[in-house]
Amino acid sequence: MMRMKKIAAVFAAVMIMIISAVPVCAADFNKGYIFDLDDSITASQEEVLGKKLEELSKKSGMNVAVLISDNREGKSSMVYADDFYDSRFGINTDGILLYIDNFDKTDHISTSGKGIQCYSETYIDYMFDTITPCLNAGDYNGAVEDFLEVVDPSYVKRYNFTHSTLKYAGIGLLAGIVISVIACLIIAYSYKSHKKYNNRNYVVSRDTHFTVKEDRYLRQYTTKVKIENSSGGSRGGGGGTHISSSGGVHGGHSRRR
Amino acid sequence: MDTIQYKCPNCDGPLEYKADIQKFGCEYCMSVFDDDQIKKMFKDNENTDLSQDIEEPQATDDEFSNGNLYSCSSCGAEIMTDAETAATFCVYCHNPVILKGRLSGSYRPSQVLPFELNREKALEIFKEVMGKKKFTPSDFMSNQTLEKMSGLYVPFWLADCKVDGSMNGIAKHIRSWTSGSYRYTETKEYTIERRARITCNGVPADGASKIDDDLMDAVEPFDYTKMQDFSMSYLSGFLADRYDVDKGEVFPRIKQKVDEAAKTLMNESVVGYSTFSVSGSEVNIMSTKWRYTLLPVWFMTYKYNGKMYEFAVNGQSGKLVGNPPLSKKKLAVFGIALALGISIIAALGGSLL
Repeated sequence: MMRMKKIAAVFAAVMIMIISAVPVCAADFNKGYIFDLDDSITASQEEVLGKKLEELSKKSGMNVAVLISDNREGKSSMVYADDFYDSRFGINTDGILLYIDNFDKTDHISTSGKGIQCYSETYIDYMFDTITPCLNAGDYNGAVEDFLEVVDPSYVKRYNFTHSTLKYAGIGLLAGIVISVIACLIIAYSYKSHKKYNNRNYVVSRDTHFTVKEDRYLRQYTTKVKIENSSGGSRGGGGGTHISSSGGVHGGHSRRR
Repeated sequence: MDTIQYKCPNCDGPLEYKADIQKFGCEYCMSVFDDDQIKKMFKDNENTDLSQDIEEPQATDDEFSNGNLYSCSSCGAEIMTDAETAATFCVYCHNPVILKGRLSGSYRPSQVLPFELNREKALEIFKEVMGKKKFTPSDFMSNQTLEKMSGLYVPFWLADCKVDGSMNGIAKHIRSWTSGSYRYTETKEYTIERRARITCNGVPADGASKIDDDLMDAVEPFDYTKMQDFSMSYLSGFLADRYDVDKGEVFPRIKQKVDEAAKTLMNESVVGYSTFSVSGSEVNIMSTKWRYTLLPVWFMTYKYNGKMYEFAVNGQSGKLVGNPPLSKKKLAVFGIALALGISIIAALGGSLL
């Protein structure tokens, strides 16, 4: 009896030692939405940014994530970013991932699911324009903060509204000017008309007669023209999205700093 | 020089020709007289001084030397007119005045077409047609403008012409069809020759230099079957002018109208062809019979931005001619509003997409 108790105690102690010796390597992969694989930002910055990204993700209903790394495992930025997103958040889920590349500075923004419609290629360019100054200055924290501002769907909505409204207002104004000039010319012309009486009506028919009324045949000729047959073709095309190695559809593109 | 005034035998008020009832009416006691009664009552007026030359007052060296002074027999006022005026209104008592002797000798018209539309009807037509124009200046349809509507008997030369016309050209009859992979076109050519003896009657040209010729051309036609033998009584209540452009001077305008009429007639006789091109034509007026008449026209003028706009209403048919003034300001406001409206609609449409 005593011997069994001794063995059990030693066994339990050893188990506790083994278990406590196992390093907690969840560190980089359990923060949720921010992945700083090459320690470009401090732990406290990481925590703050991680919270903000989580809040935004919950608010928008999409996965908004940031990945900073200097090792693309031999893949292109696009493939690396797409695969990373798919493995963390699932294939064709709604979301956007900013990949800050410290390997050769080819950053990438990858969109998935609803994110493809929400962030147009033009808007992605705009996001790059916003974060590049901080990235060039090496301020990764600042860059992610800027990213947080412009990635917010309500910000995107406001941006699209002002830009598309301005664009259409400009086109509309031009069309409006052309139409109104034409309308004004037509109105001004209508104020100038002069209807003349048909003088033919002064002819007294009963007192008028033809002394000569001859139609003489002169000649005739016939010409022929070959009818050309033309056929047309049409080409189609589309684009804007691509399929990742895991089979998910992604939007987005890269930019070299 | 004396004036004639047609006065009511009942109350001595002024008698005027009423276009709506085609009779003479007294302004005061509302008595009505027809043509025959007036001719009987005032036959002396018609016979006065008609064969003698007109005695013109001495020309004086001041600004009135082109005008003439007459005495109004109603109020004794001196009425000033220009040389062509034959009927007018006294500026003081507004009674109609016919200037005796102005329409005598070679200036006596052979016929007159009495007014069928009175002033109210003429204004009604004007308001109806011009009211549709939305870009006229704001005071265009004001009472101040409308009260300027005046009925004037315009001196017209009417020409009855005997014309010789000729025309020749090439007419083509074109037919095409498809057979196999070819389109065939067959053309048959014909020489066309036309010669005609044409009669054109009542071709008008106004004999007043101060009235715009184009305006008078546009106010045609008049129905000459309603013409009356000339009597000065028809002029009472209207303005009237005698001619100052002789028939010789208006002849080119008559010729142009007759030319057009003859060529249209000959062209119309070439039928059944796809195309007809005229290689030569000639119109010669062999003889002209002239009639000097007075035709009824309601006139209105409007001045805007230094330009005079003239309007005429045919006093028989009611046809209105004349170009309305265009308010550039109103048009500009409309244009800007339209442009802005379209751009706002486009902006809203774009943001909804």
